[in-house]
Amino acid sequence: MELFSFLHYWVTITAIYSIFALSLNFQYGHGGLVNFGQVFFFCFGAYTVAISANIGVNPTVSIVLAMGVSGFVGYLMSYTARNMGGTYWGIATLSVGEIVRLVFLNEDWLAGGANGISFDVKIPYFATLTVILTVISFGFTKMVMHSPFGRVLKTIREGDDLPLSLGKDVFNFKKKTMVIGGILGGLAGALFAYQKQFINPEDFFPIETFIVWAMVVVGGRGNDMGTLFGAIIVQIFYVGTRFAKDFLPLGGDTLAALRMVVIGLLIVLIMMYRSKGLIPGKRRIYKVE
Amino acid sequence: MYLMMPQLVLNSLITSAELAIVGLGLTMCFDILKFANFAHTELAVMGAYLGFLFNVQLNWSLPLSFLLAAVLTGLFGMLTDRVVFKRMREIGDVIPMITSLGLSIAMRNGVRAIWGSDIRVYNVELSAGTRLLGAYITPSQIWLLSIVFVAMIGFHLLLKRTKLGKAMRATSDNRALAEASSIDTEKVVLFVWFIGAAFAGLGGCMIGWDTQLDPMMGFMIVIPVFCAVLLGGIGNVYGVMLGALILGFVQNFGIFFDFGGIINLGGALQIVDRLMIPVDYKPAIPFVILVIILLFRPSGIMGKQKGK
Amino acid sequence: MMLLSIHKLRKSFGGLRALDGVSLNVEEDTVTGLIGPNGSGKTTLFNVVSGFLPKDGGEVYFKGKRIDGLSPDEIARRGLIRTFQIDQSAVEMTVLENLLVSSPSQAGEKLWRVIRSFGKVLREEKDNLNKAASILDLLGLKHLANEYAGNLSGGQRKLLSLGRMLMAEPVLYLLDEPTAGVNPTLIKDLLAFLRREVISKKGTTIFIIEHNMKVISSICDEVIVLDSGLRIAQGTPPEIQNNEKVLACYLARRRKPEGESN
Repeated sequence: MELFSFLHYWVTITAIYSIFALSLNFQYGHGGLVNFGQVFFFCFGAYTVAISANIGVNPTVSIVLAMGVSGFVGYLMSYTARNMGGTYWGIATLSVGEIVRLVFLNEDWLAGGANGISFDVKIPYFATLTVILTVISFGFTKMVMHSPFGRVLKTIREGDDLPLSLGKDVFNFKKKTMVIGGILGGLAGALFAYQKQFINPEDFFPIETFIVWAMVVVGGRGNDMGTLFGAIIVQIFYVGTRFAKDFLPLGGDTLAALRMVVIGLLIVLIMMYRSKGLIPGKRRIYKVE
Repeated sequence: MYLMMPQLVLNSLITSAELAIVGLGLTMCFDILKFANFAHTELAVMGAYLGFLFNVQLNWSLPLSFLLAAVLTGLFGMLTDRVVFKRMREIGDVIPMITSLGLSIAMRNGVRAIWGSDIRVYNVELSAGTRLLGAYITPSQIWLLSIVFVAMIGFHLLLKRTKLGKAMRATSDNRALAEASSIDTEKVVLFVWFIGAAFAGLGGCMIGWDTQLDPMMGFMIVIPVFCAVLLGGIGNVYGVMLGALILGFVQNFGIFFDFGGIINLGGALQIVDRLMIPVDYKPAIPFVILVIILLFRPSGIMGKQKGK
Repeated sequence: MMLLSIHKLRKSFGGLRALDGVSLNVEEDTVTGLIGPNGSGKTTLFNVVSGFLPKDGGEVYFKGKRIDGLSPDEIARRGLIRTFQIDQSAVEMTVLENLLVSSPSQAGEKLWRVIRSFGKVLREEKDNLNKAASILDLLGLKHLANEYAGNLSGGQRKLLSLGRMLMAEPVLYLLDEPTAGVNPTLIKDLLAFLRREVISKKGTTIFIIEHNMKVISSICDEVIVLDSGLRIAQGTPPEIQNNEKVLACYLARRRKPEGESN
């Protein structure tokens, strides 16, 4: 029974992080936007759900609301990406993520400040729901990327000049990329809130962004299947090492630290040797007579 | 606030000094190698903890520990370039930046794994500090300011008066041209890493001495350091010093500044009562300044001028 | 009719005046060459006209309407499409994808449409694919249709960039040194291709920067000569080749336009 409930938990968490990773992969892998503050979508999604659940809004509406709020945040953030190069935008998004967290931390009236918010709404068949939503998110990104819209994103990823010279409104595409990233990130955050039933600013440190970066990097940028794979791998590793405590003479904090060392080195090694990711991407083959 | 003024000035100078000595290496690396190194501030952590190893665990003197820590950190910096970043010279700015992110995670957690998350301090007597011009200054702070000052002067002389400095400036201005003038730019790069990392490591020791050691100390200053670098203009070694000064003062004085005064046009109008940055938001100051710079003037206050 | 009219265009970089109040016109349905010594401002002219560089002063008219100040994608949508000196092929996309993305006004590029008018999007894709296939045939690149553009040789990439232009069906082609670095046999093929597929068709105008005088003589009706950001001469290829001013400005920089002494 314990194993079952543990698996239940693991599947749910992995599904949530998969959706979160898909949101990042959409922005970076497909759109070429390096977001080091991805956690702010997660944060807005989670808090939206927590606040609305507390005033009695039903889960479906709360989740949709969370996606909407985060999508809107993505829309606003896209304006910062307009004239900023990749590096600067990475630094800027990291900063914005922290500013957002600090606001939630200090503004008690908003969402409980450091104490956070808790609520008591359970969603039935939650694990199944998260898996279904993961599959839908995956399907959605696949569909988008297989369309002409996705094709333009792929060109933008390599630089603005070519698509601009062909008449593509690059900024508009970037806006939409950020909105989609926001919607998915908000969905992940919303589900996270329902899973935990209690959220506070400590759930939204930059490390959350870095973990999904590891997932995306492992799986291969632009490769959604790979991202899912990366999410599963990282989650197995995370959870697996929790059990290592019973076998290795290491303290909890040391183990947690070592876990992060491996995550960090994983990112470094993959970027050094396999910057396209571990999972080979498939190219789109057309039949031409 | 006026009673606290001298202390605030001192605190600002301390913050500025810390940011400057760590930021120097970052601005050079950013300029010559064209990527944002998120692992740079972790070199400060490494230096601080190496200092701890020598001073507390091996019981060596503080000066020797710090010197050794700085040198070893410098060597480690060179090592990271050789092993990790050298292969990424022509690959653009995004991949090295992501790599540096992974490296920073590994470094700070490596320190955490070895020395633990508990706060550490060096083997020095606690001092209440002496009174100086209305503020209290501790020995560690005197040393910090002096060493950073000397380091900045020394670096300036290196840059302006030596052949190596000339090579550094040439490489920073136009790498291809420097290569063509038979400057071994890879050697210059290695040296830049060494100096930048050693300074950062030394800075970490100083910070640890003035306050305490904590594995997150590097990550806590990564955005302020980037802020100082960008304020002054990437690659501008004098700019980062200026940026550090500005940020140091703004961070310490910022919470006392009444923006209401500006809005009310100095008392001429009465639109708002008082508009001040809440104390809780003091940590947010560097983040906000950074975002503003990136949005409106990414070339920094001093712009593209290099240390000419 | 003057398809492209440039009036007293100025552009400086720091103290350097790349375009010094240059004025010129490109007539519709012609192949007009743009030559000049290195640094005379040719590519800068292209960059400003196509919207990639902001101007300092002057006006640019395309199809009778002012386009200076518009964004590059707006200008491209009006039918002015340019190539780049350094090949900009999307290397992580296949040759076909490079072509497919070049087709103008695709409904499927609006995300909403993908959902709402799915049938229409599918049909457009099919038409696009056919168009791309026939262009590949013409370019002799069909066997590389599903190959990553990054794996193509330099010459093949030049062909691909021409292919993209054909897909985009521009009113005005701005070609920036299309034969640079291409071997002479391929140049012959490229020129033949241009004559067959582009020049002979009505309603296409080419404005081409070239250093290779043989190419210029081969396809240009009119040649404009630029030096130090100003137009110093204009005429047919033979007229230009014998123009003393032109020869002088090349000699002054000790440079001869390529292809002259062969």
